Amino acid sequence: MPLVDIFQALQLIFSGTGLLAIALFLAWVFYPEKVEKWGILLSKVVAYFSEKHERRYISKHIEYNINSLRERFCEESSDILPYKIEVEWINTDEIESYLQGDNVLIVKMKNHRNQSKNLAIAVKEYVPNALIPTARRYVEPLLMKAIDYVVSKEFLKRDTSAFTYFSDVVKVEQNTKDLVEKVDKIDEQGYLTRILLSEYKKLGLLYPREPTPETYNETLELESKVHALVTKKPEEKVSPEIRGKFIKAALVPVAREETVEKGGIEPHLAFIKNSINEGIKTFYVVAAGKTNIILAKTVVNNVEKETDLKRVYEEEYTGIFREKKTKMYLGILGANMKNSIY
Amino acid sequence: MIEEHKILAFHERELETILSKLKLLEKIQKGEIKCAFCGKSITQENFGALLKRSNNILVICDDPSCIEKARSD
Repeated sequence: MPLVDIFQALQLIFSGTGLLAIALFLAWVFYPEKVEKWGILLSKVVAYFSEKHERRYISKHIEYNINSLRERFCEESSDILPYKIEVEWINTDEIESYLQGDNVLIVKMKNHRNQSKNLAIAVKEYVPNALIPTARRYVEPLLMKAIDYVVSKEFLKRDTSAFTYFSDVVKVEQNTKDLVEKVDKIDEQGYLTRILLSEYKKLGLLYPREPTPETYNETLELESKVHALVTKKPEEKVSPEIRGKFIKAALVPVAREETVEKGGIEPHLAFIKNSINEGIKTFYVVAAGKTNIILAKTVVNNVEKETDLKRVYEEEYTGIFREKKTKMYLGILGANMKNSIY
Repeated sequence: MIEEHKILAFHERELETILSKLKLLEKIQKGEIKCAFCGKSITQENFGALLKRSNNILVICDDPSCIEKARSD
């Protein structure tokens, strides 16, 4: 390369435009989410002057809000929302061709000034399609409806006006009201995704079998046990196991009072070993508060050492425990049973 | 590679064109079309979506619950 060209290239790089381009490139490499957010904000400003950018803003805002939260849900339980969302603008001249197939839905998007309503509608269209898509038919229908509602609310919580619109407009039907309240309580402690949906998604392996009252009852039983766990009083005991045909799981709450009273973590280990012999395949070791978390981790470590179970998931997070924001812990121990529904 | 769920959409400013093409504009202006799920009378303002089901084109209002029913019923 001749020296003059190198000089010109350097001059371009260090000129105002060059520096800006480099800064944007680096920002895109290191902070892709932030750059995407800036792009959306920029589209929002331009949307007032250009129809093309208005459409861009409407679709990118929906995609960003749903897909970023989808990622968080999937970190809490992999593959519960296997599809990303994409908004495809139809060519209105060819409307008839889009309506050739069966079950095709074409949604009207409002002006970008009503973007909160667009987001609420997109969430309502997305969740029943994307949440545990192959397993949802095996979950008791009213319970699945309640879960859809609570998950939809989660998607809209970050946008106050979308959330208000959703809460005002979408009325919970009387027959699902109790279930919504129970699922809400479970969600407060972070167990909706990490326990309920983690178990329910396994039912997808039953496909293409028809759902039966048995699968429905087992899904309800699990929901009921997790709800009893999250609402129990400190001294109250809850039955922690489900020994169903399709769901074989146990909840193992580790609490200081109970542990100290019973002389260490031995009773938990004995319970788990005994349950393995009785056919339980997955154990959800849960704890709230610093000391209990240490104890729970010790339980998980010891079970791994002393049995064939493996730690398939572990997380410390913040949840609402007895009406207070509290550090929570969940460790999932499971046998290696890929592609098995027992 | 993550699969995508596509939402087909059009902008509200294109509604009249679409309704004319599907010969629904006059019916909606006369208040003859009802939401397939809640039975509410459809106007250009509360129009929510079109659903093709069993060779019929159904019109749905903009209540998110009705949009959800179009997907889950």
